[in-house]
Amino acid sequence: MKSIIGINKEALDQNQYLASLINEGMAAGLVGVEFSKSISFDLMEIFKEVMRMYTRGESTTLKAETAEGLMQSIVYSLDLYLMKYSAPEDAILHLRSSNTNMFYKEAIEYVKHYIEETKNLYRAIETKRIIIPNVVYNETFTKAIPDFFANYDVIFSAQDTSTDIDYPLVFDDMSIKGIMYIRRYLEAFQLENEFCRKFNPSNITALLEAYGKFNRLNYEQSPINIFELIFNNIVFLTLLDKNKSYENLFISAIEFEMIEEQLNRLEKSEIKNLISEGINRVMHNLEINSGNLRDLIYRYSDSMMIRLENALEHGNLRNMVILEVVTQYKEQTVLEIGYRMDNKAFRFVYRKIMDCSTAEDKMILLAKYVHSLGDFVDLLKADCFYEKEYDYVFGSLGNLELSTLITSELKEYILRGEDKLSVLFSNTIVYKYAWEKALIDWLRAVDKSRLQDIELLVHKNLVNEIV
Amino acid sequence: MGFLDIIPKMELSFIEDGAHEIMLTNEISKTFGLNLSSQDSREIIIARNTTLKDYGRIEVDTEITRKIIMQFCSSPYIQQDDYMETIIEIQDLFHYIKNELDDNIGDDELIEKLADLYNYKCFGVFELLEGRETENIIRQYKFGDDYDQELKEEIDELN
Repeated sequence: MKSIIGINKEALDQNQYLASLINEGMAAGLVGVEFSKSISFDLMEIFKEVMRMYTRGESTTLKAETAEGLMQSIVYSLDLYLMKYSAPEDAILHLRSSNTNMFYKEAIEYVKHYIEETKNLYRAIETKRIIIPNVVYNETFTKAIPDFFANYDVIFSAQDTSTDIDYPLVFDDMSIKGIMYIRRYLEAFQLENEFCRKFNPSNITALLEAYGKFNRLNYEQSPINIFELIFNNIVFLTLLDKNKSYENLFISAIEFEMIEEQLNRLEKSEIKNLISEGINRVMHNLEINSGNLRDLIYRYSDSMMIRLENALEHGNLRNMVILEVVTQYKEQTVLEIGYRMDNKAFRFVYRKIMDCSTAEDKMILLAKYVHSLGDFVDLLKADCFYEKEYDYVFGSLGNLELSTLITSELKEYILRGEDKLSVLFSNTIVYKYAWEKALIDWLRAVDKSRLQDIELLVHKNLVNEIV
Repeated sequence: MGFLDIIPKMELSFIEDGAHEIMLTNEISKTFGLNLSSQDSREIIIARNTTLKDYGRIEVDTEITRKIIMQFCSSPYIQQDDYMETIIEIQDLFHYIKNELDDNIGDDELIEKLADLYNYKCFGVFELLEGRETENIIRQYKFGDDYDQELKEEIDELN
């Protein structure tokens, strides 16, 4: 007799477990050829019984295709039962010591129990699934999976996975069939959902919407993986700010340019290290301690790196992120009070403007990046513009913006007693900054009716401040 | 371990076993003057295997062939010299109809129907059974004609 060695687990095929277990069992000297033959014979006897049930005792013949399906169902249940043994040697021992027919009956009971456990998992997920307006996502759980449970036949088609499970996961092994596939799908979804639950559903919806707009998709009807959308964005955001709070999941246009510039400067190995650090930082920030979720993230990061390398090579990084959607108003720039860029972003914009050789280029950047009064004034104070360039700058502003600028920055001059701009302009003023002088000089050249409109708005602003 | 891995192995030793089972029907058929030799029986089994292969069907034992023999051996239209061929023809027709009806008819029901038609409508002319009557059976089961009722009435009249 051959010496007995352990079964080679690597050679076991999940989709043909019984067959590969017997083959490996023979190779390991645990079973002989006679055992294999007896299993074949026993399977035939089980098949006859199942066929009798299928035809309600009315036939002993079937189409080969139908018969094959019945046999696959029998073997599927046996496979699932055998796979419950973590040591394949134990599986083969149990099979060898049992009557195959009894073993099959045990297998059916085991599969029924497995189905119930899977249903419980589904119910647990349903209570925690994030709420987003995507039909594919919702109907997978409200319709497709319940339909699967309602129609699943453990005797005649245990291997069947006919269902409309359309919501895509980041990892989905479609080679697995039957109830095992559903269980794995739900387990994988549960991990993705655990991650997604750390974010505000309305922010996730906004991200989805922006994704749809950029890719010209109907975000409510398309199969979009939520985990991937969120994860990519927050990893990149974390590269810019290690202690990011993730209240806003979007990347702004400036932030995107900063990220792209940073990544393009690095070698592949440096990018890999940077992303890896970023991912570890994300897991730290979000307090992700679950081993399974961390494993999922590490697995995903491998495919993310490949995609990132391709994207950088082809200049398609924009396709990996979701940018903030900036609403365009009628006026060229919209200067909001209160909102301000962080220092890193400001330095980035300042450097870019200083690198421009023409006023037109500076204006393009100003329109693209600067949307707050505070940032606008800081750039003016930083002497980004010279002489004639100020004409372009102030000429790009509307009356409302000019009045806001004047009220905010020239208030001290106005409140010295000059309530008319025209009177203010006629006096000699000592300015703190060059831009203040440039603004007054520019306003002096504006036509009278426009100046009156601006003056009125300034007066209203001052009154509102007092009130 | 595919299904087809199991069935062919069974078939190789099946011909002799099957032929032996077929020959057991001689106990009954001899009362009607009909007998199948061991060679006849082997040929019936081989023809049955060919039929199953051609129609993409499986059969777990020889029960259907035996039932066909038992049902048809009492036919007044079958003689010893065409007994084996008739059984082979009926066997083939049986599996053809089972395929056409997607196995939505029981074995006994179909064999009885074929025997009634052969004897009372076709008067032993197999070509009529294979042609017109087979089409009627298929139409009846697929589209729900009143065919069955008509046949029953005709049999009752003749009896």
